[in-house]
Amino acid sequence: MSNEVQPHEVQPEDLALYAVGSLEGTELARMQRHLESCAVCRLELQRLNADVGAFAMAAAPEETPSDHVKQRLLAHVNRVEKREALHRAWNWSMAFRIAVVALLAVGAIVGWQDRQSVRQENAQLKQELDKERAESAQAKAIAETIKAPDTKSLMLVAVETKPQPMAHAFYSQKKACVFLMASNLAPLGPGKMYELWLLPKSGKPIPAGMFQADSGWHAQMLHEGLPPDTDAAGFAITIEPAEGSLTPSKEPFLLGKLG
Amino acid sequence: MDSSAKDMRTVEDDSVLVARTRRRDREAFALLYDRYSKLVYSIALRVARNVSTAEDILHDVFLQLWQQPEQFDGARGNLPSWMAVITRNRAIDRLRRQRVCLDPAEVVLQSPLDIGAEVELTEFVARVREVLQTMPAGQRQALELAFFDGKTHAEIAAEISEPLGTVKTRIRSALITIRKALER
Repeated sequence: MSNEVQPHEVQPEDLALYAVGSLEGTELARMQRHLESCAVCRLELQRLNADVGAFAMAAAPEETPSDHVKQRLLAHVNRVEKREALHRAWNWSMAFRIAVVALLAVGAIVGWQDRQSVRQENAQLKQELDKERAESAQAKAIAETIKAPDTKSLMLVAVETKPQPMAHAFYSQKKACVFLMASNLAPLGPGKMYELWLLPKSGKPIPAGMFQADSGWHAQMLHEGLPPDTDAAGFAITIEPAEGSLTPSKEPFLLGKLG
Repeated sequence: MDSSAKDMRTVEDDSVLVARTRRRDREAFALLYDRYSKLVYSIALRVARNVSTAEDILHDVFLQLWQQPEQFDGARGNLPSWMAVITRNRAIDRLRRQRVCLDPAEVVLQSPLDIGAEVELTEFVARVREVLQTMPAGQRQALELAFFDGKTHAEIAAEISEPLGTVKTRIRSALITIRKALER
């Protein structure tokens, strides 16, 4: 951006209008172009902004907001912070697990150097065993969700357009968890994730987990820890910012209702 | 000013509170809210003329400060002035979606004043109010119609039945009058 003074194609009065947000259309565009190249006007605009700020602070009749606004704001901030803290904890947990795996791998290498194949085999067996245990635990949880006596099964299909993307949800009210399988879901760009919502029979939608589609446009997710004994009317899926949302920011594109 | 008052002022300095807010300090954020919620709400209500909408704007402005405190730094001027302009822009943007208001990140204020504490803020506002009381009524009216009602200069000219040039001159003169009075 140049600091040279450009020939002035705008009047000082127009700069003041710009500062109070009173320009529009071609005049606004012309002013913005001029400001890009005129350091003098940018500096004067900053001074005018301060003048406008001073005016705003003094000219509005003093009013006191209700206390509930502060309560709502701080509650919102607390919820977001809790969610971020959980996310951070999860990341630490993952880092710890990766570190453990790395240590096991290092141990296996040292063992190979010292005692050749025996320790290597042990380490490999341990890794495989851990992996199998993890897979088995997840499979057990999925099976329990699907087979639970109170599990209700529903298919989520596209609301308006062709029913290409679809998802199957298994919800256990007693176990307070849901297992979701989805297909034909386009991978989302950076900063976006799919979010599943439990739609209770009364009350606002409840976040029920975030997920991404894999390269094959499939996704599956087991989400535990839903509010206990929630009577669900259905489930919905929306696209949300990666950090998650407390309420659906858009209309769902997949929706399923329990009969 | 005795030492305890000085200490209090240092602790409560805006720049310190903003820095603490950047480190996700909810107590500092709440202190900023206590200090400036009245200002933000007053401007929001003046623009929106609706309590519910003004409360939403108040919520949004402070949530923005919590989520993106880096948008404000000392180089942008003093915090209350910045918040005042941001609030007005957000309120107008909410009421008239077709009008494009400045992005908060673009709002930079070159103010000779350093309003760092509540006492200074009160004194500052009192001084500006004095200026507004002695300002020609036509200048103040044109500035209020532009700033609070979000009207263009053409709309103002039509409303007060004055030429466009007169409206432009009145708005600039009003701002320069405020500046000169504060620089004294």
